[in-house]
Amino acid sequence: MILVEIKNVSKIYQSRMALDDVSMTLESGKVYGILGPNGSGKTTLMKMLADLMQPTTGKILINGETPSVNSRQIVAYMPTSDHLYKGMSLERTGIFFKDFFDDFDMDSYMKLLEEMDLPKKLKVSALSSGMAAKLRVAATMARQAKLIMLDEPLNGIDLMTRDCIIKTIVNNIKEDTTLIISSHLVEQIEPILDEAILLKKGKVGYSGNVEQLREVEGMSVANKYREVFGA
Amino acid sequence: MKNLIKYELYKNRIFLILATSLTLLFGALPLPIAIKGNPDIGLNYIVPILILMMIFYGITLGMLIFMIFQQREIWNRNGILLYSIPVSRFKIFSAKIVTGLVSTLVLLGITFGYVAIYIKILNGSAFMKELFAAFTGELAIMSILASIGSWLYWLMTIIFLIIMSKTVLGHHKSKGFIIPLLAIGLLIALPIGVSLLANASLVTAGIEAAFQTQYSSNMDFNITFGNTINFWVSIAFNWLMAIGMFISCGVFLKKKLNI
Repeated sequence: MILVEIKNVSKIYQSRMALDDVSMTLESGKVYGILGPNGSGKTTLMKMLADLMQPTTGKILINGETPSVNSRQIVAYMPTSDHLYKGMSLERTGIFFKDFFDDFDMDSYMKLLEEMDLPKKLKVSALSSGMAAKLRVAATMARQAKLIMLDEPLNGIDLMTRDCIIKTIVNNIKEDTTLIISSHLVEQIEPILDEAILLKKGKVGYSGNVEQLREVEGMSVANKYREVFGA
Repeated sequence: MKNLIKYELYKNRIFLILATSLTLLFGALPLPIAIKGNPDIGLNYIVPILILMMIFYGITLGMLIFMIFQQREIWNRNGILLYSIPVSRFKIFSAKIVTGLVSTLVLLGITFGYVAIYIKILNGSAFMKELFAAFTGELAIMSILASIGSWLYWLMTIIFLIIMSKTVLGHHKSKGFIIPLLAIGLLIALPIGVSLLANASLVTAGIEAAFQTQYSSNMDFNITFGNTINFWVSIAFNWLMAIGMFISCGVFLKKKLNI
């Protein structure tokens, strides 16, 4: 079942083209990896799906509707930056999410905090960068959203924390949830991907099924990435 | 909506503390001037003016700081969380306005309380009168405060308009929407700004006149060459501030919104 339709979407920031005539469809229950170097348009695309930005041209449909209040009810977006309120404790952050998102599961959030060894009484401002990354993932994954988007969840954190986050994502993703994950660390996220979308200077450089890529072309996503980006 | 207001208040608790402190500070500054000349005049004439002045500063500072806090949120990362919430942007905007008003009312409450206490002091302790009198400077303080007040109003109005356009229209929407909105907003804001500016000058002039004529015999505060210069300097200061504000806002709008 198609959850997201992106039709000829372009985004121009002043004079810079961030996305250039991008079209794709995303199906329910699949894990998509949006991969590409800095400035390739990954975050822009995710922000448009989260209704935080508007395309300059083109159309986006989520569950058949353009991004709006309705789509925000079924979309959970985790940005790269620390977007949570620093003065709140981790528990209070959960209450904040619960107050605003009907699909937020407090029990699941508390369980995730426990699994990732995050003390609920600690304030967001007191967290290390690794702990903050875990918290962002926990707060996003605790929503029972149809579309979950994690923008660079593994950025700037150590190997053990990365493993912990990957494990948490794999263990907590629901069958009918569509997950979009962006990362520079292609090899690290490759095992959990169903589909890979490679963005190059705002255009789709490659899009395809990871399994087919391995079987038909005998290539890993990392190798495809090297091929597309010319390493 | 209730949750939004609750969290807006929660987030802005630092604003409340800061604005309260500043209101007290700014409110306190003009008061000793009243006592310096003649403690008896306080309840008759100067106190009502001072109450108005403090309300003026209370609202200005309250709304200004509130708007700065909001502006910061719209452009920084917390905005991502706020605008991901499945409520309409109009509701978010309304919640911010309600919170701003509630916060301002709190400030007004504090201001009135402060004035009430001060009147009590004015009628009572001679020691306190002396103490406050020790803080006094020239009448110019009042003029400069009035100028700053009008300047703050300008700043607040412009920030308010930018916030309104960014909040209602969302991030990075077409400039085609922002320009007409700003134009309409400026049309509304301009006369308000000008009248406030004029009011600030009038308040300054009124207080000076009050000192210079009505109480001149008591205070030995006759119109002198120095005071006349002071008056014109305060008016000029007002307008220079406004012109500076226009230029800085122009640069700001050009940079931020690429207008």
